[in-house]
Amino acid sequence: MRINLFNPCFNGNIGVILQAYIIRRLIFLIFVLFGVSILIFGILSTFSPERRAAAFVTTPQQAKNIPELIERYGFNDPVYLQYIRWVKEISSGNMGWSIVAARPVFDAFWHYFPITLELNLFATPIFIILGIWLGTQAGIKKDSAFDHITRIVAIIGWSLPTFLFALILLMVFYGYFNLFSPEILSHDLVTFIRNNPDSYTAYTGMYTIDGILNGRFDITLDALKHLVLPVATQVIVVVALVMRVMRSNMIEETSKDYVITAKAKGADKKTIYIKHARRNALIPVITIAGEMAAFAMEGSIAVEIVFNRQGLGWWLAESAIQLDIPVVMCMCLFMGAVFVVTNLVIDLLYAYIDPRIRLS
Amino acid sequence: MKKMKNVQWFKFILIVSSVLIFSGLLGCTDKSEEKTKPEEKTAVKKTIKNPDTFIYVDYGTVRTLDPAVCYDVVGRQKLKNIYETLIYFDGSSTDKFVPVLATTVPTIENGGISPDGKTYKFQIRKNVKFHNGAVMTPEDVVYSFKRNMICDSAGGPMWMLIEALTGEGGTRDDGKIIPGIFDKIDRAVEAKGDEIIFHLPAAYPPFLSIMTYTTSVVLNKKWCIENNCWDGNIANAAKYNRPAPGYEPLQKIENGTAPYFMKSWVPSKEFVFERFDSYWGPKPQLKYAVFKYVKEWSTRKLMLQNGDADRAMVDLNYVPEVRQMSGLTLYEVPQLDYSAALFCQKINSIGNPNIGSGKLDGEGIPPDFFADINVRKAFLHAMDRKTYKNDVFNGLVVMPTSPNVEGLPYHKDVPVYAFDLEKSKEFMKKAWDGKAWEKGFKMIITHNTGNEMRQAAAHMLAENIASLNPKFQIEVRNVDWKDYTVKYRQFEFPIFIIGWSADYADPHNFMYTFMHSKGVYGSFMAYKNEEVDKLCSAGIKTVDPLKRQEIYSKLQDLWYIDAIGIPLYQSIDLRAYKNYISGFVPNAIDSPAMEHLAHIRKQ
Amino acid sequence: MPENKHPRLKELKFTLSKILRNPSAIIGFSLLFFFVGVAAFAPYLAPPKNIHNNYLVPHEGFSPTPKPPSAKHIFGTTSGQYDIYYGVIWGTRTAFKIGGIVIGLATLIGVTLGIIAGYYGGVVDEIIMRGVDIVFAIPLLILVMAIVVAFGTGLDKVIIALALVKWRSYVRVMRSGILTLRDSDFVQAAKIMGVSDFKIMIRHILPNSIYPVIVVGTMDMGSMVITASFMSFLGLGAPRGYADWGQMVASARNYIVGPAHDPLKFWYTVVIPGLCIILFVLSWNLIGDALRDAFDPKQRRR
Repeated sequence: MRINLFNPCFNGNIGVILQAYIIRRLIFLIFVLFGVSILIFGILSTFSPERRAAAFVTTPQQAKNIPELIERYGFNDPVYLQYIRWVKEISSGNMGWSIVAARPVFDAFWHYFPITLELNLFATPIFIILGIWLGTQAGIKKDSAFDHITRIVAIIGWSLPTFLFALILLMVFYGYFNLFSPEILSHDLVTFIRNNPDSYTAYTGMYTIDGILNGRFDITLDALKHLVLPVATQVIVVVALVMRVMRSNMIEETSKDYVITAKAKGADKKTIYIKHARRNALIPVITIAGEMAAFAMEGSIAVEIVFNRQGLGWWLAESAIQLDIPVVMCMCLFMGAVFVVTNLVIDLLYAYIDPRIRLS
Repeated sequence: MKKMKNVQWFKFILIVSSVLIFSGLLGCTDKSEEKTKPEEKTAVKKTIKNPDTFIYVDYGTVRTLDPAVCYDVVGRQKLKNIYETLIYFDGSSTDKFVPVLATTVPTIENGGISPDGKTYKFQIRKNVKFHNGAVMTPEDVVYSFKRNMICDSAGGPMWMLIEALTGEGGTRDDGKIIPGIFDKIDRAVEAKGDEIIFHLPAAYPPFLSIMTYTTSVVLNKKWCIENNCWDGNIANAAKYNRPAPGYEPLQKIENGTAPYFMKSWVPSKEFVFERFDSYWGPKPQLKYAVFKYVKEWSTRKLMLQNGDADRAMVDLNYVPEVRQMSGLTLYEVPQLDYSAALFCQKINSIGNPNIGSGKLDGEGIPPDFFADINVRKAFLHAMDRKTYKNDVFNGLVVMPTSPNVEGLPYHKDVPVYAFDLEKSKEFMKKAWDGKAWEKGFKMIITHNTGNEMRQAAAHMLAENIASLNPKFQIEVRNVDWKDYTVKYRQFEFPIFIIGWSADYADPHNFMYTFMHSKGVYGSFMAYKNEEVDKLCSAGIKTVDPLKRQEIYSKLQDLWYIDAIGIPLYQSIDLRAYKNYISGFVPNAIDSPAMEHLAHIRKQ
Repeated sequence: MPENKHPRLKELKFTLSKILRNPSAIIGFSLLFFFVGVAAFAPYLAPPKNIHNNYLVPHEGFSPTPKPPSAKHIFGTTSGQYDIYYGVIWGTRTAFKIGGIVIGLATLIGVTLGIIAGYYGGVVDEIIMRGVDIVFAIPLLILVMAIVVAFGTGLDKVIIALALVKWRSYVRVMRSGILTLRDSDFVQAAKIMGVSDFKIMIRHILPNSIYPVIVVGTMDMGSMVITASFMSFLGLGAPRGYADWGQMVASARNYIVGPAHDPLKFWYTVVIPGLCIILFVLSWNLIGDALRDAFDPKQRRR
């Protein structure tokens, strides 16, 4: 079936095809989530019952009750029974209890989600624009000094562990210059919000946006100040990836015949590169959006730990170390869903941008 | 071509400079603060950030606020500032008390304690208000004790009161409720007028110490029942026993009598206290207190340095760094805790990588390797206590000699096995009739991941023993704490390094744990000595201090004579406050996390 | 004489000459040879003190404060008095071990599955690729964290976990290369001639579609060291005192900035192992870039 979805001449059954496509993708989503849950459950079922019970133990004094905890939670039951029980719980909307957050997983998720979202909402446009710009320049001037320098800087950027970058920024800007303190918001504003629940509504859970919605621009400004270092770290981590893809696309595009012909005909280089080559080179960048999301998620872990912003990344790392199993399950499912949905969006976008590509 | 390049560079410069300007704009308010700071410092003390709030940063997470369930230092740190007990320790003392919700501390002299030590009477203070405005009654006190004991969650702290008041180790045995236990609990506490009377089945010397624990706080009966706690009818008690973790009724709410109440709590993020203005006692200075969760040490350190925190939790290995910082007040507080390397005398030999071949053939050790006292003594002589103290702790530690550490009643220094590799060699040559020396052995010493004090001890033992004979091979491995607690209980570690901190200030809490064949650690060392068991049981039932002294003195000697384990350290906590914070009263019973907010002043 | 050689050899020669004309490739290869040399001569450069395990960094005492470079410890000592020089030298071996084992195992699994999926197509392809989709749905670090937590902490567990996750990308790379080859004339010819599937895959398909895997694998060699160091940061990786750059950086993280009066006091604890990681990753990246340029059919003849 080779039909162009976005071809205006083809009005007939676009809707039907689109619908069928999306339904197929949603079925795939369920399949992936099911697979992910089996996979993670399989990994986690290698834990001995004692170990899982030990997750509830914090002091040596409590350790003597491990057998009782095993019995209480049914850690001794066969794996498939535990899995069925878990699926039943999930389908009734109960994701379980998070030891780390000391509240139900579902609640905790919505509590942490805006923090990570806010960080990435600010970081994403910056690293995409910066990455594309640097990549284009490096691609056009292949093997020039600019190309080599940006490449080496990018390699240094991504060959140092994220946590090291975050710590260096924190040490220099906060430790030495006393600028940009860690955490999400200054203490006095947090106190204000806590004491005046009537004059401040948390619409989104993101202080920068809530500040504007509540007409409190000082809150927005303060939240932005706290975002500078985390966003800078996040940008350093991901920009190299975008840059690298953009550079190689650009090189490939500029070596295509139409560019060479245009150049030979004496067309303005800037027009060729920026108007034509870059536009075409941009398209494949969309395909790495999923990878960027994964990178951003991984970057968020270190950023959130170092800058003490309790978000999803921090929660996940903490849960993995403390064997907070329901959280690990929930986060893996969430990431799986994000991944599938991102890919769905990419496919649709792709078909929209590049008419040659069809949904099949 | 050239022109285009210039345009691109211009763009680049434009972007970079705009980013700089942007960040400059964001930072400008801070910068101006920075500039004015030195002037202000000389003029007024206005540099103190958040003058009405005490901010403490540490890395412990609260799991529950239910006093019947909470059994960790971080939770108790919160409870202690929300709820009150009948009595509490007097200042820095661990055996003298002051009345809190009671009006006097019972003694044998004032008739509060019966001469046989089986009855305790407390007079209740009047006009005490709960945070919800209700007035405390004797009925509330009786209900609180019964409700908490009935609750007795899995892995919880209630065994202490239940043991003292009923003689049983808990409400359940093997997961089943002990018949008649709830009636025993019901009979243990009663109110007569304004007097609360406790009936103990046998004398229990640490009882008053347990009365200061967070299991002994006073709750509001009406409010509790409204919030699904035990309904007050003893026939229904079983229904309220062992609540699921996370679903215990008082997990997230509170209604205490203390000078602070919980303003808000975001788990693993922050816990906010606000001053309770109808408090019966003196009014504390600070309106708010915030306990924040900051895991990364560098972040904590910088927050303390920049005044965004008034106190930060300092792990022992960062002490030298903290000592170099300015603007702080440091306190050294010895703790009632004891860490030791314990020998397991009956190691699990099934598929256990830690003992190699499981035989004395140079490729492993037999499961009962440490049953030979010569081996134990050889290891004891290989512990370089002096280097350990100076290098690992920078001298900031008490080197204990037995589990009855300094600060506990009846403590005495017993001899130690001095660091002497020659003696260690001698004992090794004697061990297993010379076979150990001739064949050599191979084993693994483990420590829990991240504990650098224990890691150093493991390395020291391994390296020193291995230096005696090239046939001795000891590897050091780290094991995650959760796995560690499981594996030593499965007898998998030939030597396990572990610590205990006081539930209450009495030698019984330590000697029984480490030496009795049914103690928490004693049982997993597979150590059994009839005399020790007898002495331990006698110690807790004896009221006469002189007789107790004799018993615990003997037990401490036996720790040395029997070479039961290697005493490692009794920690001294370094508390780091900003220098404008005052009011801290050190007490050995308080864990490093504890903070008595009512005393804290900021100016 | 060379003209009579097998065409594949001729191509290889062309590729090599192409690589050797690329200056960044030369830098990359020289760095790599340097590291190989250090790893090979580690026992001579830094004679081990512990006869049973060379990777344990020797230490004198237990003091937590790092000591600056001196005649005895030319790179100084880090917290716990571990000798940085020894750690860096033997850490080179660890770095190769991490990269080599992870990428080796992952490519082995990935290439095998990729060939099978691409060559047979149909149901087999569907099963394998949907499996890959599932594994791909979880970000690398998160899955590795889950596996390490399940199997227990330690560098060996981290290596296994990374290999167990990393294979997924090679399956895709391999398969996409094969799809065009499967219907090509020479494969069809071999099939008609009755050559066994196994032989076709090994003799004809593998050599013609392995290049993208080599490029991606080369790039990944370095980055595995970083991932392993992140595990150390979380407390799941190599223990303190183990000769591993990532561990050294992670456990020196509190010494990035020294006391207020001397902020660069402990520079050596972070900079030295950090520089090793950068150069190691840099060398593999430069080589990877050069290989890609050399193998790319569109680029190579220009």
